[in-house]
Amino acid sequence: MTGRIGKIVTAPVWCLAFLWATATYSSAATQDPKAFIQSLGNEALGLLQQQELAPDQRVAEFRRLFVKGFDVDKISRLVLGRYWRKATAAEREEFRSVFEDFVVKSYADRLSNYSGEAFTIQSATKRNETESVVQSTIVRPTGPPTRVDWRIDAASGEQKIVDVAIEGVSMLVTQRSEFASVIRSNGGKVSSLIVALRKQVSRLN
Amino acid sequence: MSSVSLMRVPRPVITVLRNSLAMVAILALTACATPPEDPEDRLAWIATNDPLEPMNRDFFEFNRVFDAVLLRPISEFYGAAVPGFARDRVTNFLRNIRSPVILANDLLQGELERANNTWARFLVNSVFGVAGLFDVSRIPPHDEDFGQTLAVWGFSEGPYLVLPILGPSSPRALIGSGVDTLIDPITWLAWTNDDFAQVPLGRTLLGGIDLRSRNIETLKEIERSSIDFYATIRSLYRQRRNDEIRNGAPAPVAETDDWIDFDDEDFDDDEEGTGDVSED
Repeated sequence: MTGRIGKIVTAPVWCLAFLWATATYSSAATQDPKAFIQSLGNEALGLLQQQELAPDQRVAEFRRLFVKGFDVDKISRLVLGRYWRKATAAEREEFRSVFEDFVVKSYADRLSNYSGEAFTIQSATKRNETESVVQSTIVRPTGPPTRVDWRIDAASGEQKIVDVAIEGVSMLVTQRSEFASVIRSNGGKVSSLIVALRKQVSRLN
Repeated sequence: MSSVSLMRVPRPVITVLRNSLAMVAILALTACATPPEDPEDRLAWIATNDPLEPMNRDFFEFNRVFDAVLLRPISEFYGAAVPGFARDRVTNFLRNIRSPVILANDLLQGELERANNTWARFLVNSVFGVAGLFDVSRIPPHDEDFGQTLAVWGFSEGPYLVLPILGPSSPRALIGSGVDTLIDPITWLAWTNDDFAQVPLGRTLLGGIDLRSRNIETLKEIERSSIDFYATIRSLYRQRRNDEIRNGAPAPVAETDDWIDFDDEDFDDDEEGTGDVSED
């Protein structure tokens, strides 16, 4: 009896839970990429406006936002390009972690001087089956607006940023070209790039 | 000044360009890097398109020293001593007197709407904006040069070049700025009228200081977050240039994907499969 009632009571709950889970899953995958960038942009602006944040906290908050909004695994692969194939499993793992530190340390500082920027989303275009590009502009109180394009991939079932292009300059292309140059001038060793990045991260501390 | 008669030729830019061309030609013979043996490395080397890299890096270092001891201090002084209002007037004025060159290139590229914008801006700002000091046209500005026109016509860029003092360039951009100098009415004015003989040089110097003073922080940030500043600037220069050539249209997919074919057994965990040659 209790078992039966228990089933009757819990069945709808399981059903709902299942429905909710699939709904959130598919909404994450098919969700409007513009809305995704808008909400992430709002969160970044919120962080910008917290002027009283200590440097350590700012770095930590920025890392949280970066890992949440960006596909760090995929970016690590794309940014190493052909050298990803030459890297050992250990090197790949090491690179991924030092690359994250490098990005966070390089850019967290820039978020500390907020001067009234506003962020508007223009349009979104499909790049291929899973990727799309959201075009936005950052408007400053003075000077011309800056074009910022966000390349988003939903292949993992969750929307994540793969690349940011400012005025037509892609972060991914720039870093890939820079990293390739470092590896090439050090006899093609991926480990040399890891060493250089680690040195840079400790210098930025 | 060694020779007064020399001042009659359309010089400042051309002299510098001619000298750098000669220097490039001489050094290219001795400074050319040897392509790598490995076929894959060789493909990457070709895609990077920087066969003069050793010489380019030398000039790049020279330019950094030049910037540190002369250009940056002057530009910082300019930024600190001259009020922002006055600096904006300088920027506007310099942009406005470039309008004839921009207009010519708009037309040569068949961009009639942009040509119309350039013409309307020039007219309105020259008349109502006090000879271009104020931008009252409400039409967003754009730039064009003959290097971009050559690109639109289908000429390829050629190898990457770093010129002394002038910085990143390419044979196509270099030829372009030579042609722009010849199109420019100011060159002709300086050529035919002694009172204007120094105007092109003055314009070039002021333009350089104006540009540098507006990029102090940006360049500092880029240098701070680079592990290979030379390679970063090379990539940034080319991407900006390609963006200007496309007039801000989105980059083709091939240009942002890696040039190498990712379809490899070791690369089973990635879905990227485009094998086009891109910027680097």
